Parts: sequence; structure tokens; C-alpha cells
Amino acid sequence: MNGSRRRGTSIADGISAARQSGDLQPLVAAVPYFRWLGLRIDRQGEELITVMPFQDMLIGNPMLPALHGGTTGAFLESAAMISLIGAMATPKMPKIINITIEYLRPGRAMDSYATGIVTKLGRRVANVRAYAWQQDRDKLIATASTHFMMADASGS
Amino acid sequence: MPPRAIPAWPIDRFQASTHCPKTMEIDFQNVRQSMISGIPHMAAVGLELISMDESGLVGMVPHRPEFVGDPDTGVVHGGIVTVLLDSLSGMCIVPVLNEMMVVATLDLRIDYLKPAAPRQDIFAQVHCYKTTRNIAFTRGVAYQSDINDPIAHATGSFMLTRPEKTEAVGAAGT
Repeated sequence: MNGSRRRGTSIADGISAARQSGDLQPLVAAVPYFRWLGLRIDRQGEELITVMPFQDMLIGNPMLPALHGGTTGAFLESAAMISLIGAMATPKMPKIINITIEYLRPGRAMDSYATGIVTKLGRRVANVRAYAWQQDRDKLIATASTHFMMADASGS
Repeated sequence: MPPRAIPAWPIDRFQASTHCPKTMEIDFQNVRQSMISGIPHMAAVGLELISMDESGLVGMVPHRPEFVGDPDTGVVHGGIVTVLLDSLSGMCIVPVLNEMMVVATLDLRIDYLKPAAPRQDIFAQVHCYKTTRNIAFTRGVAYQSDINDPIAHATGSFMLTRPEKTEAVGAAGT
């Protein structure tokens, strides 16, 4: 219990430090799956843009070629979560309740960008819309709507 | 809290074969092999196909430390569950079609029903319960030790396009 509690404090500290410095990159570094996807965060004013640099292993259709739909979904989920952490008053890891991904265009073999807009930040639940694009922000490749449970609501 | 009885996953109520034509013969071993070697992201996550019949397609993603989404608990990131359910949802449609069609995802909804247990492989069973001329509908669950106690539920809808039409348009999904 003690060990897991210590680790639990460290991720909260990571989020806390990231929020204070305005740099969420340490948070990305703390999450193995974000590191595996190679995610990085580009802050543009108030907006947090999550970048997924292209890698061959992200391809789901080698004929087109196009990104795997699952990676696009995972990327949108990650971007929604990162934007939510950026908007939260206290450093907690939100838990995803559900996600609906709408696929608009095939993701090409190039870098992808996504941002989340927190449409409602409630005490127990947050709603986040996420948008992903590639070289042209007006041509979205996919969008998602997500619900997150704020971590400590009634302890679960 | 006493464990609650969870109703069995009602696959028998929506047999794919009663709502879909199912006339294409699929060489499962061939699909399994070509998927692993031919699709980079499926190879990267180590996705494996286990079985395919009228109750659906069963697949698995092995546990790996790099898939962890919450380092405090060691629980896998939801994105891995998304990759597994998205892959199987698209693939389970092909065997129930009359002819070869290009399948492009319109949308996919995933409900996370409970946290995944750390350091365990994740399985999923997905089936196509209805096809129309242009659209296929799928649903499925992701689970670890017990399919009747799933960690996630997915519903998807997919656009079906004849291959020659796709070439004229340029790409699936546009």
C-alpha cells in the first residue's frame, strides 16, 4: 500500500509541476503509452495542441497508406485528457467513462495534431470534445466526444 | 459488497447469420497471418486473432509495460482497448458480406465499464449484427478473465463501398 501510495503522489506531483510551469511535457513523459505513441505538447497561447509525430508503426492500411483508426481514436482520447488536465484546478488524473469517435477522412502518413475543448467541467464529470487534423486545420481527420470522471469524486 | 449477477452477453439474440447474408468464405488462417505481417500497427501492438465464427471474431492484445496509461496503478491506457475493438469491429464485417467491399469506419463508441486489471492480456469479441447496402453495424466487448464481466463495450457503424467505386473516389472514408 505504502509503495503504491508513494507512486500515486508522484504522478499528482508531476501534474502539479506541469501545471505550475505551464509545460505539460513532464506529464506525457510520466505515462508510458504517451511515450510509446511519441506524443508531445505544443502550447499555443491558451490552447494545448497534442502532436503525434508520424511513425511507420502507426499505419493501419499500408495500401493508401493511412493511420490505423484505433491509433487515431487513442490519440483523440489522449488529447482530450491532456486538455482536460490543463483546464483542471487541482492535479488529478481523470478517468475516461466513454468516447465516441467520428472518422471524417483517412489519416495520412504524416504528423497529426489534436486539441480538446472542455465543454463542461463539472465537479464529478467533465465533457471534452476533441478534434484531430494534419496539415490543414480546416480538414479534420476525426473528432471525438468524451466523458471523464474526475478522479476523487466520492473516492472512485 | 456482494458480487452482483451480470447477465450473459446476449450474442445468441443477435446471431450475425440471421441479419446478414454471410456467403463469403474466409480463410481464417490466411487472414490471421496477413494481418500480423501486413498491418504495421497491429503488429506493433501484438494483436492476435484467436477465432472467427458466427458468434463473432475473438482477438487479443498482450500486456506490455509500454501500454500503461496510469503509472500509479499499472492499468493499460484506454487507447489500447480502442485499437483492439476498432480492429476487430472492422474485420468482423468482411465474413458476413456477399462480396468484397471496402470497409471504412463512420463512428465507434466505447464505454469503459470498469478498470482493466493490471498486467493482464486484453481480449475482445466483436460481431456484425446487421448490414444494409451501404452500412454495417457492429458491437462487442473487451474483457480479461471473464467475457460476462467485460471491461469495455463498443458499438460501431461502417460505410461499405465496392472496390472499383473507391478507386474512382480516391480513398475510403472521404
